[in-house]
Amino acid sequence: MKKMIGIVLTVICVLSLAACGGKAAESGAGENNEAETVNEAGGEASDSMDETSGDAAGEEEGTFKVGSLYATLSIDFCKGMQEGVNEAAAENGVQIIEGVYDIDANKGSEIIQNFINQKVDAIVMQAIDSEAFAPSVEAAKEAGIVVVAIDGRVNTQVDCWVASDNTEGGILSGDFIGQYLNGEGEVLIITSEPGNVTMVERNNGFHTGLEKYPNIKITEVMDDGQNGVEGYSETVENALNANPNYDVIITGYSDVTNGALAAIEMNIERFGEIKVMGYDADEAMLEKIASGESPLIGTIAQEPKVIGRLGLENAYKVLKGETVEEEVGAEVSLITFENISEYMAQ
Amino acid sequence: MKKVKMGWSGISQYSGLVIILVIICIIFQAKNPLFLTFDNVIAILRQLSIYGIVGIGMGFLILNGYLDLTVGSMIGICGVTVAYLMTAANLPIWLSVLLTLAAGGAIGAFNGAVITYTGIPAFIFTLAMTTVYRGIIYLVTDGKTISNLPKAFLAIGRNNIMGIPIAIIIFFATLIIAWVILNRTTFGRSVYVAGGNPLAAKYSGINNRKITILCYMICGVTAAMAGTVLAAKLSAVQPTLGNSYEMEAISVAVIGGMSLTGGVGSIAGILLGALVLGVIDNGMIMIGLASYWQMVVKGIVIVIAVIFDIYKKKGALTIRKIRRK
Repeated sequence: MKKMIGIVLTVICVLSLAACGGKAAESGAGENNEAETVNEAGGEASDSMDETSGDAAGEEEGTFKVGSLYATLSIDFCKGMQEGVNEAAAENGVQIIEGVYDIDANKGSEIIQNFINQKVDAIVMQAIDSEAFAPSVEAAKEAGIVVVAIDGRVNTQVDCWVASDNTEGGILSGDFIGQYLNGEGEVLIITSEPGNVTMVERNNGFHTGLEKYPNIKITEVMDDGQNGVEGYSETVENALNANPNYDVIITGYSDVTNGALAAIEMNIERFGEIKVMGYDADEAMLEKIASGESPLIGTIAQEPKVIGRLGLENAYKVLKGETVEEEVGAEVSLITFENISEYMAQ
Repeated sequence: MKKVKMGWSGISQYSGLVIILVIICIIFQAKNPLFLTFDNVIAILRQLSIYGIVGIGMGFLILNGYLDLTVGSMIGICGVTVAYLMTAANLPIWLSVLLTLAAGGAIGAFNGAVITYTGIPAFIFTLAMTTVYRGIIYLVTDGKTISNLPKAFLAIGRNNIMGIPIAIIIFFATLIIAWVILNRTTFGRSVYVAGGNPLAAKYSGINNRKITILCYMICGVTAAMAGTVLAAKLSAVQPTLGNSYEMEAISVAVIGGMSLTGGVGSIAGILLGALVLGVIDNGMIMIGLASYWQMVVKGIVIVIAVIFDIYKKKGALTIRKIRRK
């Protein structure tokens, strides 16, 4: 009897694993038939290495191998970059090996080491910590690998850095709120993920944008982002309970925006008058702004797909021996109720 | 057999935690008079009800001498399940919720079965499954947020019944049911006995394996409840839903006086543990403590609370021993 159950369990395990494997392959094929996912150091990665018979052979055929690295794929923004990278890779016949480090810089550095061991030709990477990634990027450069940073900056020499101008985005947001409040009122800024360069730059931008309006009182509350949207909604709810006089909450990325909106919607009778200034632009957010009835009055839209595309294209140019600019900026735009129809039309 | 003291009647054994809780409440209230208002107390309770609910399920496992690190991912899986059943499959809300609870129980039972039948350490197996379950979420959702949940469903996370949010009512109902199961059923007593001394339990005719699998099932069901409430509260399901909630659940149980070696602890402790965490999180923002200091203070307060609690209990224990002599 015991043996029987053991066998049944084993079969279930194997079947479920097989099912997972099948799905993974399927979804991979849907997006890009050359994409391969590397989640853990080693494993699959070294297998894929064996398939190509070394660097030189690959280059002769004109196919470059590029490692792409993302902080997470659970945010629309990162998925957008992934889409851009994969599209550009397919157009240029570049093979992609993909890594995701779940917002853990240490894990990210290990994946870069893994890319180096696999002798990729270039790495297109999203850094969430400018310092933590520097040593592994230097190691990659020493190994003769082309490194292009997308979104977040890395504090060492890379071949190219493609990003939306986060400071500019912050300034646009702060300035819009200053105008919206006619220079009078109280603003709550949620600072998220300390140490995350992108967030720090946006945050500085908020302050710069609001500088022109000395009669606006600014309060900052931090949340380390550990519990995602739910955590942000709690932090915002607590901050509003502590001081219900805020007029606008300024947020630095989509999870914070959605958390702030959830906190207000949960207490609509008490906090219904408080507005939210968003960052990023997913469909649900755009709908809310367009309705004109939501607490969400505006947001800063980035072009993640363009960033990803530019990242891969620049890496490809360097590989072919062309020179590229060290810093490539991708535009950000302010979306409000007034101009949302134009934005949607694009 | 020695009668094990547990439940509300044993609340005096938590006097250490209660005293600490009262002291921090007084400090917060002195710094910001808005702290002890009805609205804020309700906000604290609604926030802690989520990790309180999974804390209860985790409590069964810890009492039984096991633990489950997959609850965070299970919250995510169940959140996705309930969202898909309502939107893509277009099932009625009550059926979607029931099926989701069943799914949570099934995943829990699977965890328990593999652990008890293979003998793989619970820590390692559940740690590994965390990434498996999270990976499945990404595969199913393609990493995208599921929104447009039915309005009526959102009531579970947002509406009130007689001024009390439904989430809080669910939490307290679960507390009461868990108390009854642990203190008034043979199964409940077996959880304690098997957790405290598995060998003795075996010789007194308890099927340890069955007890453990049932505990994992309960833990899975509570994770499904938390996932459902969270989805309703946030009106959308992100693939990261429930991230790191396993640590909150374990913290709640351990701060509440449960021993990780099994056999010791009670439902009253879970409530107190959840209250300590919720009050600290809310209070530090209420008094406007500088952000980085919040992390430092939170850790220190938890350590002080637990040390004080241990100290109080040791005191109580020695007195009892002397009396017995």
